[in-house]
Amino acid sequence: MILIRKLLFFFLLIPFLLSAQAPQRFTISGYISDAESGERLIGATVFDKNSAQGTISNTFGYFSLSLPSDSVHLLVSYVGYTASEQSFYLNADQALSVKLDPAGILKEVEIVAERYERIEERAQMSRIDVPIEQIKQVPALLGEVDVLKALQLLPGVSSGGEGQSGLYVRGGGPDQNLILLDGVPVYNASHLFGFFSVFNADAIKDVSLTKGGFPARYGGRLSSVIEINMKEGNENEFHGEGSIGIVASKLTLEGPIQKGKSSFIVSGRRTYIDLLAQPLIQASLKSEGSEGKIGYYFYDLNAKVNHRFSDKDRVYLSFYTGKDKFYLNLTENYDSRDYEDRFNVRSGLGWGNVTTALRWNHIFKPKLFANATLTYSRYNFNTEAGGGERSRMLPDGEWEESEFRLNYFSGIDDVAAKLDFDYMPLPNHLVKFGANGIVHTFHPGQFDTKIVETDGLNIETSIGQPDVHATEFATYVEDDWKIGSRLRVNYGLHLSGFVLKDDPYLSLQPRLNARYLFDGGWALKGAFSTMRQYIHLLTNESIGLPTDLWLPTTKQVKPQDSWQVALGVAKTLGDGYEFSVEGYYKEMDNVIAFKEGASLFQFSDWQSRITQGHGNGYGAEFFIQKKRGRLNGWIGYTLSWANRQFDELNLGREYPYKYDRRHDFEVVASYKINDRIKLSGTWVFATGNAVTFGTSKYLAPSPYHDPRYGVDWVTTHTPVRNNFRYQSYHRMDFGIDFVKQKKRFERTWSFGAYNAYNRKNPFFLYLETRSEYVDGENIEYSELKQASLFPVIPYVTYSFKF
Amino acid sequence: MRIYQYILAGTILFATSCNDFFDQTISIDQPEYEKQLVIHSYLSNRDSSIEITLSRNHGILEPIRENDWYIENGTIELYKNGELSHTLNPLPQSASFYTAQLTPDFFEAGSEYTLRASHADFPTMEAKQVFPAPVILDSVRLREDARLINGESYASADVYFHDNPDERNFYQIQLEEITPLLNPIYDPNGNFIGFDTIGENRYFIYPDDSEDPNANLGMLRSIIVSDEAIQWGSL
Repeated sequence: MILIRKLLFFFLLIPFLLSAQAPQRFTISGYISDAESGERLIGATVFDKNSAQGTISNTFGYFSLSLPSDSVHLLVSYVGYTASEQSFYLNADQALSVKLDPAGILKEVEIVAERYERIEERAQMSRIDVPIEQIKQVPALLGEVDVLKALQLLPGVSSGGEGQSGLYVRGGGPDQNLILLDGVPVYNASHLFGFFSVFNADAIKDVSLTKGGFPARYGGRLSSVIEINMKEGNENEFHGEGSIGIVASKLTLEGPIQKGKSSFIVSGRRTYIDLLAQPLIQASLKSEGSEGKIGYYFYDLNAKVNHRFSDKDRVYLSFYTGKDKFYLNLTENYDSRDYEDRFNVRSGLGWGNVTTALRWNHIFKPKLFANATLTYSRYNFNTEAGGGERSRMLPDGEWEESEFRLNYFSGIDDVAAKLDFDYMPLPNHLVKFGANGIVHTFHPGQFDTKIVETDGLNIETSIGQPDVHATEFATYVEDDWKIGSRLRVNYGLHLSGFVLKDDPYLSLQPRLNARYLFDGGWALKGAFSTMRQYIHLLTNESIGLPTDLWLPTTKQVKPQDSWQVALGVAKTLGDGYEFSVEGYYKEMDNVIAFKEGASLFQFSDWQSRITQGHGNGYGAEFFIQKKRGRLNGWIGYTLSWANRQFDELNLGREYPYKYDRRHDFEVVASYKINDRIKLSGTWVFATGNAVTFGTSKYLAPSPYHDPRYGVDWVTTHTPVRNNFRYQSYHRMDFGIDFVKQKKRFERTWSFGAYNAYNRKNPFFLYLETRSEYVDGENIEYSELKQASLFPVIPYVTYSFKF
Repeated sequence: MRIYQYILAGTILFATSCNDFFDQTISIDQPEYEKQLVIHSYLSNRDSSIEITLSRNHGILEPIRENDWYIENGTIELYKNGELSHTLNPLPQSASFYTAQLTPDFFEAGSEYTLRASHADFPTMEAKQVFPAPVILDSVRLREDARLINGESYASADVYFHDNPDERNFYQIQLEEITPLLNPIYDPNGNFIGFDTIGENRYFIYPDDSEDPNANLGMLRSIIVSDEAIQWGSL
């Protein structure tokens, strides 16, 4: 611990020492925002042309730039916005809030921002920002814009399977992604078994994915950090947008509460397949002599308010809730001349997330920006099955009643507090430091059963494991240091801990990103990071079942650890094409998997069902992205390997991870023909998933028969795990938008198709066996069959904006 | 609302018309595998003979004729502590069963037994087993209605025995229910007067907790557990 304290002290001290040596400087600080909506702009560039010094705005749009007392020619720019330029003499600290005008995409061809932070300028590597407008252009399944599925189209990221919203980043597992919505972890990001994600794109401001080279401020997961920030709401004018699609409708309203000071945004989405299908379901039930309801729906609700109390204080309150619900309530009558019987069955399946974040921005000094956050996150899964029966003999027999009910509940609750500081002592240093604590409450799963009958039987019992409370904490310090004009490093330390009862775990994780700029604008980048993860996910890896169970590190189950190195080059080519090539190598320890024969749906202690082992991932990623302009999109290619090794599985030998993808290629493009017509399309190609498939068959005694009387059970022999590959996956989607400006609003008709050329992509494989009698002898034939999920699926969506 | 119902109906119609989309037969070559003999046997010191089935494996996608499983003209030898003790003979009624008569004390704790099967078309297969010492049960406790799962009552059996901590052991635990086999007795007039016990019925009980990954399902509905999976302690 003494060493840790010394290291932290040293890190904190460096900028102060450097600051002490500097000549007299003054600080220009303030917020950068969208002139029309007042939305804060994240990552906007502030650059002094005279001194060639600059910085970028943080997550809250705040910037601070300390410069020597001199004349300043300040250029503030952001991709897609008209740059702002100001000249003045700096002889005192200067508060400066800059509002940038959004440039129309056509106009933007003419007004290209002179300067914005280019990919080669950043020290950090393995991070991709995708503008939400670009995500909205990606054609989607049934027209439902999906943030996570857009991220699956990035290099280094694999999808779980056809239609799934799971993310597998650089050989990591689905539990190794930290998905933050306004800084709050979202534990289950799937609707409808993963076919849709929980994020409503209309309520989202920006999305970023970090898959390596993690700065010290990030922690808690091994493979990626996905930051999704909600819009703040237009603080100048009231606006709204919405859409009506095949499966869901959305409505978003935003506007000022107190003009220029506070604003709100509310956004809701609900599916209505249950309502539309109800007449068909009712007719079907009636034909079978039943009454009742069967249906499924999901909804999301995002809301956010913010208020500026002063130039130094601003408070944000954001809220998200979303839920999936299957329901079934059926009544059947079995009446006869002398008997009356009513039988009722009820069943429900519900899961969802709730997240809340209260954030307070405070500027202590122009150079010191602070953000305090209180968050709550909850994921729960409930299922209930029940019913009852009432019967009696006619005409006047007594009613006999019985009732049964089975409930299952599992989930996780987090209450967290966070304090983050941005300190800008010099133009070439940006120091971030902070601390956070999370109190986790795990609900590992409990069954409640109740049976009541008229004759006196009354059984009420609970089986399950009690709630588990644990505390996770972390502190960090990082410095983004420009050393001359060519070298830039982001280095830091992340210290984390986890306490469950009396079993504390501690981890000190060094982080480093470095960039060297060559002549011609090529940047060589390198990164090293170590990560630790204290919570584990027991999940079915094939489909996004809501039964996902988050569980803590215990004395028996160790935390997961990883280290990762990456090396690459980056450059902005021509008209805003960001190009990068990265190679990476990642090692993971204590990754979890089910033991042979174990599964999620068992009563025994979860710790006895899992085993821990080792994983690795390595490969190269090529990426070219254009974020704005008439033609925008990206092309990505990944060449990768991902493996797992568990002492208790596969005879201890290493085997390819299920999502080991040798090749993964994707093209995403959007082209604006004119103000009224936009085209978009994607094409993806990926090596098939690795699956376990037997190579031979033999006879074995079944457990139900005495082998002394013969062996009769045909058993499959599988030499190694994941020895077989699905067929390659490829798919093309396209969309076309027709936009029209009406008198009071803008409307868009969107048409498109998912899987446009009707590719039969593999969903799962199975072996089908049939027997034939040939010349009086039984011959068994086996065929391998592939089940596919989605044929070509057209969509149409009507959307409006005012 | 009506228009959306048409859209939904159209979508369902479209989906059903694509029925043949969802399944297709994949053409792949038979994955490589090693042709092997497969032997199955159960050694018990309560038996006076040993019976073994000899079969072979087949490729997962190969057509298999009913009679292609068993190997009828193989050679099976039984070795005790490295010395040939028996050459097994095919049973007259089924040539895929091989048998040999054993002396009562043939299986001894600590002795190593080897079964070696050979055939001209296959590599020789060998299976070895050191015969374990008998496990002496300290006690067995049966509890009825021990657990209630989904409203159904389950019994449990607690089995107590000593494990040598210096050895890696696996235990096969088998529960058998014995019920009397009754014969109704009638008087000369044909009236029922009671039952006569003429024998017993034996049933192996299927252990419900076999879902435990530490307990593998063995033959005859037994469970096989490793001593590493058991929480050992003294009573």
